[in-house]
Amino acid sequence: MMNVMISVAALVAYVFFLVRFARQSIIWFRASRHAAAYPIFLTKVPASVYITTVLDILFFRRIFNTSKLLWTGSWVFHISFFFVTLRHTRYFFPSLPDCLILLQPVGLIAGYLLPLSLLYIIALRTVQKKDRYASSYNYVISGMLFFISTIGLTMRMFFRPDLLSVKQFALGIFGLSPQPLPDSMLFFLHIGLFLLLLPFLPPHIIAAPFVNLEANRRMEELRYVIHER
Amino acid sequence: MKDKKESFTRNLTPMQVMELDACTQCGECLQHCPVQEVTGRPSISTPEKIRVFREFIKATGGLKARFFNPKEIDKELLQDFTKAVFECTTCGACGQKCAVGINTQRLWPYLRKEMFDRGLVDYEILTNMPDAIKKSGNPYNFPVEERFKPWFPEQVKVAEKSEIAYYAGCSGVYGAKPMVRGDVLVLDAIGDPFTMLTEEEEVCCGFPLFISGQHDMLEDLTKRLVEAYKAKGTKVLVCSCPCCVNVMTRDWPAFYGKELPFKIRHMTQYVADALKQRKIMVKKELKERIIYHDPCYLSRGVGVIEEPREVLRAIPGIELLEFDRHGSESRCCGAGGAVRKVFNENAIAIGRLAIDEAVAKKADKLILSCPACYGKVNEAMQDHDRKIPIVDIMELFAQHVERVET
Repeated sequence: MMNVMISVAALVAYVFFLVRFARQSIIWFRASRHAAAYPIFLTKVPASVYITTVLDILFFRRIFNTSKLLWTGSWVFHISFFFVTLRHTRYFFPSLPDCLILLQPVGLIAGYLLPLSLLYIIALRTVQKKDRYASSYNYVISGMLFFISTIGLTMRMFFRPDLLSVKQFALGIFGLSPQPLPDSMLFFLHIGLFLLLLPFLPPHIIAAPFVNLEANRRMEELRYVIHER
Repeated sequence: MKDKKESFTRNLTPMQVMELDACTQCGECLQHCPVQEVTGRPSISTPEKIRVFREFIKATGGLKARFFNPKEIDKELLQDFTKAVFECTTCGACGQKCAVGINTQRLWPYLRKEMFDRGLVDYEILTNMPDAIKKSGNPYNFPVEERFKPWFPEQVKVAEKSEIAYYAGCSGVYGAKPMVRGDVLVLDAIGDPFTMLTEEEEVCCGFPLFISGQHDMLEDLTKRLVEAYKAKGTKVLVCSCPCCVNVMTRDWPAFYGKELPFKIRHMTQYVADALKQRKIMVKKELKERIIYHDPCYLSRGVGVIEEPREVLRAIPGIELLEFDRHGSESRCCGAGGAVRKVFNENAIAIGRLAIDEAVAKKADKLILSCPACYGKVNEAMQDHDRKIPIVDIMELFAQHVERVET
């Protein structure tokens, strides 16, 4: 019975996530037609703006310019989260594509870095708390991710669940045929916490890249607002 | 007042809604906020305002609100938010340093508009503004007949019609007379005939209405001014007030409904061009260390950063110093946001930060180029233990410039 409940919860959380993504996509689509609340002075966006944005997204340039301390934790966290997510795709493909097989060792290293980076960010926030803005939402999300990743790492290092049954369970969720839950309390906690987190993932993971692109376009445009081309 | 249950996104562009979602709540922007610097209250900070506004959006336009009845928002929360969004100087420094690049200088006026539309704003200095403009043409309700007379240099001739026009602006003519006087003297020295509207015709540019979220009169004001300059045959409209220049460049085309029939130029751009074309020369030396303060709506707003420096460097003997935060990253003088009189304590404290830094850098003069900055920083120096002469850029330049006779 528990396996059916977890499978249904996983689907509900996933649908919730997709709905939020769809809502963001609609906003983005409308935004692309009406980019700013004032006349656009730069109608043709040069390629350099797109290149800068890609670099911004990959290397978090704007955070780097603002705070090197935060950048260190933030960049390591996001990049390791990305590779850990990629590593987890192995549970959702009956046979894994070659490119994802190649990335598995990177995902493993990222798995070690992920909780460390979160610990660093939480510690940094706590130390800097005086006269600073502390977002309780960010603390909760970071804390949950820390526990999820630490449990994942504990399973990898000390209490390995039966990976075959994990894969069968994961495939069963999207195949709409619930499979028995792997016999591991840690796995139950790991997936349970993740399902709680999924609908509440911060919206900036979708919105920030587009806002970043708009910010770079605006900075480029600033040269032409009142100056002759 | 519009329906209280209407969505809080109605005044925002989709990109602005996305900007609200893009805030990572990292809080790094607080280090660059002048209001935070003097109040130390994160509860009125950018990420907190964005978080609260997101809650408002969710309550009235979220999925739950769409399927069930929208939630009534706590009145106290709405009032606290309104105060926070008006306590901001709208300088935009938080957006400039934002980890994702949110355009806060542009966002705050629209959040203020939402609060205005919901009848939550009761600052008399703002609510009286539309009537004051209707009555006297300026937001301060000063007499129309005193707009030009007290400061306009008698020897300067204004053409009836000309391709060059000068807009003095309300804050300058009533609150920073040496600045507008300097503008006119420099324009005269350049030698190209220039025209001006009459005291009755030169009404508010609309900036204080725009920034405070009262947009109803903007189209009318814009059309009146644009048509009046068009009738004068204007091809270039020169103005030295950063706020006026900002609204003219960014918003007038939208309120006018099409491209403006003339170009907008900031006074320092016009002077820098005149220097390049050798229409004027600076002969008188000034052996002083001066420090220039970039107005937020000029530097971050429209990107005029180099020209004021070119103008100042044209004066022989000057050593030009820079604030730690300058150019597009400059720190507000405290006067921004249109409610400096309500949050006067903040404004004075922020103004003193500029004075203190200028004194610490051993500058002989603090050079400003904004009438709001001019008024507030001068006020901040009263009863302050540190003193420095405060001079407007054109006030200074007018004392050193000479016309090149052709």
